[in-house]
Amino acid sequence: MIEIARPGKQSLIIENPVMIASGMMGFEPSPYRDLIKLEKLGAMVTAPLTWKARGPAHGTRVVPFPGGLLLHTGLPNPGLTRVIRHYGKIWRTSELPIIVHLIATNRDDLRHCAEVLDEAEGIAGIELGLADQVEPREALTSIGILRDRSQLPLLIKLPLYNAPELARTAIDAGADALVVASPPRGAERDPLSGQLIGGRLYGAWLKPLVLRAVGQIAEFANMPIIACGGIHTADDARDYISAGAKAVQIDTLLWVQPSLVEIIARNLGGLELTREIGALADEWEPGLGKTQMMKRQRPVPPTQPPTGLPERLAWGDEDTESAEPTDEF
Amino acid sequence: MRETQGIIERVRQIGGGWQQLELTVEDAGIAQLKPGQTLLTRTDASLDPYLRDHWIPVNRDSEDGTLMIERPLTRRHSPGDVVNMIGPVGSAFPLRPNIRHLLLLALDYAPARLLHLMNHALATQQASVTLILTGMAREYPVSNLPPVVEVITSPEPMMWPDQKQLFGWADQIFAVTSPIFSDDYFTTLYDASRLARHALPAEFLYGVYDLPLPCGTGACMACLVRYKHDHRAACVDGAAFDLAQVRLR
Repeated sequence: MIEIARPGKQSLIIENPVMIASGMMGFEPSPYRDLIKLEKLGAMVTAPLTWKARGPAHGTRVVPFPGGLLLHTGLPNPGLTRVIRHYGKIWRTSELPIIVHLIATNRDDLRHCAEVLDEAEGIAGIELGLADQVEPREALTSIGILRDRSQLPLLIKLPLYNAPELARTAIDAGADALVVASPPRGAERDPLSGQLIGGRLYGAWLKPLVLRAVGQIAEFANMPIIACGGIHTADDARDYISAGAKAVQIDTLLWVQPSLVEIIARNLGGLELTREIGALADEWEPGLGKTQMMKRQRPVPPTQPPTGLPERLAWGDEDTESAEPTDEF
Repeated sequence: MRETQGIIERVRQIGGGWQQLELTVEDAGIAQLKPGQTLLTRTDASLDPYLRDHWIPVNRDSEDGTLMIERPLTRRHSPGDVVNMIGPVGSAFPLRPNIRHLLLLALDYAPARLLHLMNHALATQQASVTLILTGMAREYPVSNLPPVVEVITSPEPMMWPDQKQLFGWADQIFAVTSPIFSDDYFTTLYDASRLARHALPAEFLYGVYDLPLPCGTGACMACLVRYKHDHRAACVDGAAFDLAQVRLR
């Protein structure tokens, strides 16, 4: 059990520190039911929602580049009330806690959203995505509106390039947790149309950038941090936890290799610690191969170290492991 | 949507910069892809290319469960290569039952998206099929197609011989083009078909939207097609959409 929002009335507890980031699973998790075991995940964040409906972007929306992709969807959604009407029943019975991602548009729309979400059932929390160009004063107002009008746990997703500055603002405004960070914006040439396209960037290369921001914010933030960006291995996720994050959100890995998401969730969820001796790998890590047809063999006991040697040599030279970790942030 | 793996049994270069891969698929459910349904694949553990390849079956052998995939020759594949895949992506193309005349249009774009439908219509409904290849689509190696298919080529993307007569002859039309031209070409095509037939029948003219598919589940919303009253995901509801329902220019 991991508490990913400040303790108290607005707390949010999940069973696994691995969540699915906003926009990766759509509005509900069922399309992925046959690809990963949803109950192994901690929570999912919905696709970005606004009070009024938004249409998709015109022109090219996806530009792949080496090691990643640029995405420019226009954040299409049918509007919050229609989404709740359509998916509310699924959310109420979902095995995954559902966190609704809101886009900070204008004050009136945020007020409406907060009031509707507070009365809706099956919602574990709100994640507010702050725009890249948002001024701290504007962010303070947006967070304050949601804080005043909703009792739900409030997670604030910070833009990457000014995440530490906005983190202080979010803390002052009463956020329950910080999500670091929204994917940065960039531009790339579309090979089909030859046009330059602007959009959000995803890929494994993003992790070192976000990791630094997580470490910087962890130094002063007195609330849970959820790291999001470029996680493609269990070690990536662990690096974020070491840097001070309490949970992680996985983004485009869900699309490019969905089975790895479950592996990371099992890995960070502690299931690795309870692995039975002699168990075959794919019983614990799906997709690693087929073994049900293989004949099981009795586990071989570990060989004994040769006698007569000093014990420390048998386990490695302890002097080489005594260096203190340094704080890179 | 499920994840499975397949093995490339045979690789055949068919000319014109295309290759055909004969693929045995482990999951029998995925091996039973319907015309129009596709796969998102990955041939190695590397994340380059980052997104999964979009593999388009052009035929299916129902006896031995193999799929015939058509790919451009931009990447080398070898027999024995293992392919990780998720699918099926998309819905079956809504071919009319008992169709007699099927018109397929590859408008300045490779016809691969239409070939499974073509083979299905020939095999199960004994339909007469005419395939129009315009512009760049003329580079496709037509010697690879069944001889019963009538092939008409034209250098102009939106003009071909006997256009008006073919619109009148067809019971159903499926057209594919490049995603960057789909708005323009499908609008022109819809207008031309309305001129040729006074009352355009429902579910008559379909546009195939061959868009990049990051997720294949409708979650990313990068492949939304504008309908008159809402939006549809090409990877879930498509890739073929009734152009009478699509919001064209």
